[in-house]
Amino acid sequence: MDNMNETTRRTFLRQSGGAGLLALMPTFGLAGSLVLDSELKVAVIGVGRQGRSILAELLKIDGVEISAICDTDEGRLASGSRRVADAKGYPDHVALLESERGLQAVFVATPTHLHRQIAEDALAAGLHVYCESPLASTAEDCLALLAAAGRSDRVFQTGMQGRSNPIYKLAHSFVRSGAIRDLVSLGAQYHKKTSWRTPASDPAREKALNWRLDPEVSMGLVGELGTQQFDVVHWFSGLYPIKVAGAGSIRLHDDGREVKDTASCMLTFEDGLQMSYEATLANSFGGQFEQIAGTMGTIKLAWTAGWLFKEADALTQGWEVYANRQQFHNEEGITLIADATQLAKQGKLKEGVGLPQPPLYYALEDFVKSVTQGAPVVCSAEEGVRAAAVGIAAGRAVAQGAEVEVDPALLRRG
Amino acid sequence: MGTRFELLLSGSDERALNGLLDLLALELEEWDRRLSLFRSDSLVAHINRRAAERPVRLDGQTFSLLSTCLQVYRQSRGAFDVTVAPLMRAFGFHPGRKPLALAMAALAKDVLPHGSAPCGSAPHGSAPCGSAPHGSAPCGSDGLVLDSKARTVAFTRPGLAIDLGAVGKGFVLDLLVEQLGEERSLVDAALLHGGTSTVVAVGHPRGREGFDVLIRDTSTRLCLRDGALSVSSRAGRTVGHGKARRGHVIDPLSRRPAEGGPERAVVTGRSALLTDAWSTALLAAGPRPLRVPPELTCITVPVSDRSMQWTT
Repeated sequence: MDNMNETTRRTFLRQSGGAGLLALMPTFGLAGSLVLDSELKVAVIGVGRQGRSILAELLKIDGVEISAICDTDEGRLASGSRRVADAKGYPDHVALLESERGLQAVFVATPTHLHRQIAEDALAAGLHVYCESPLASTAEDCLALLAAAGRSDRVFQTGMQGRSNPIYKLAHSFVRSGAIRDLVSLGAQYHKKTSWRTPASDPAREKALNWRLDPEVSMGLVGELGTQQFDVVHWFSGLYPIKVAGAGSIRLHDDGREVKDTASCMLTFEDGLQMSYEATLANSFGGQFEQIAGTMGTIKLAWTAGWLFKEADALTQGWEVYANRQQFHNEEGITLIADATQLAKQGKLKEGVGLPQPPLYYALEDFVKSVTQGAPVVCSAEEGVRAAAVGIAAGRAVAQGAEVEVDPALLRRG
Repeated sequence: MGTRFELLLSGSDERALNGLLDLLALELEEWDRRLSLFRSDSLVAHINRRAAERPVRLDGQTFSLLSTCLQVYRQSRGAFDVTVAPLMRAFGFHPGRKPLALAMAALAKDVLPHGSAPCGSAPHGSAPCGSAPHGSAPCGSDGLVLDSKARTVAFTRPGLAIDLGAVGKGFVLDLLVEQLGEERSLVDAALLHGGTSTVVAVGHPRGREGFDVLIRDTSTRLCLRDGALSVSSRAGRTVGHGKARRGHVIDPLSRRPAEGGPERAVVTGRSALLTDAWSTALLAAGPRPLRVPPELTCITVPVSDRSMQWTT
């Protein structure tokens, strides 16, 4: 965990200064995908769109055997089977856990409100668990998951992709080295024009598939989508918001839904730092990004790309002369390229813009390394719960159009 | 795939149709990310980076796609080939690329020695063609090894690269039709179109036998119902000057833009993947005759004639 309790963020950054950035440009092994020495037998529970993406990325890791998949929806189970025909399909996770012999790990990609029971059962069965974000949609489920992960000696990783993303790791090292100095403001957005609605001719099936539009179980846009982005900010700043003010409305999808299709919130941190967050299903402009502004520069991260924008009075480093740059209206961004040192040596810096694999791949690879090689867990249950706590508060703030405190019991540290 | 798709759904429940459109769009976006030659994080880039070193495991759908491509490669005697990416790049048909001098010189002189394919910098992850020994430019689907038991693909030659641009649209349109089939009761009829070259009809408009499809610059109208239609044409992007001007379809055997055959090839059938692949093959083959599978119907438009030639 990124513990900044003993040294405040501000002090830490001042002490680190802005020097030596080139030396701190990390080299990540990006060229190939992971090859395991021995087989790892896994199952994927929940094979909707996210679960199927997990299946596709797991296939890239030689040694991972996907022995089973599970989904309560027949159509989705069939879609999963088309992706991995050799995996046995189960209509419920209990049958899978009872029947699959030699299973070592499960990936949970069901609707958020179903995570708790499945993860608890998998941990109790002695399995390693990768659980998608957000971990849970209620404080009760968060605490239950924390307890279950704490009781188990198995690996539990929350599926926060930012912490595994090589571009984000590079940006994180920049921020930690003081490249942008003191934090000024934080911002993030998720814009995608889509309805969130899955039609089905059977009403019961339609209700189940459209759980994100059901206010009984859904945290809404900022809760279901924002949690990944809140975690990025937690990781970079070492800080957590204590309260959230939110508002939302329906701007496009006026189809009888209660869950807002457009929402914004303002998150306030203990030291007065603020983060603005916007999410909409009515417009795609700008897509998904996080922005971390400091007194000496701003870092913008957009999942498959990232840039550093320096203030005019920021120190200049030698390596910047050779850096790849991109123009954004009147601003010039230095492209953050993972593996830059290696690529520069080979004269291939430009080819390094972007990632060799989708961000999801790196999160899965980190989990597999934790299970098979004992590598540190990149995002623990505790960190997952903290992000979920912020998501729960933000979701409630938007639904109520009010200011809501983040549950301090869920933010508890150490 | 870097192209435009248009999805037209007809039915009585507007909310359901909007939801279906979004589902289809998400499916399109996912496969565009996976099949793109121009994204470093696509599945195609992953295959091109690794398959010469070790077999790459594939999901069932991608394995099936590559199997079909290899089958059409064999049936068309090499006229359809998903490994022509280095040639496409050399002739400047990839976005943002100018033709290489060697390729242009070859076109101007009307010669291109066999085995000396002019190749540009390679697609993501693959070695440039120039790194291959002289006379063994890494093109040709005979270098693809598909293991149906392990569901893997491997390249027998370093530098080989697949480019699914010629069939990606058809493949994805077939998947969209499959997805529509799961909730067919919500849709009366649908017309799905990709890249101005492939269109798929599901059902038929009310009161009509099917969707009318007009073949541009001809008076030919086809009635399409529960089937696919693909067109390959020399028009569109071209390279060269004057008499040496050529269209963007590469003949893998001569290793240069196709010439001497029809100006346009139209293929209809049940599978958009197959119609896409065979319309390309018919154009790429030039004057060489091809034996098209019986389940497909082909129409070719000669260069200097707007009349149609039908083959079934």
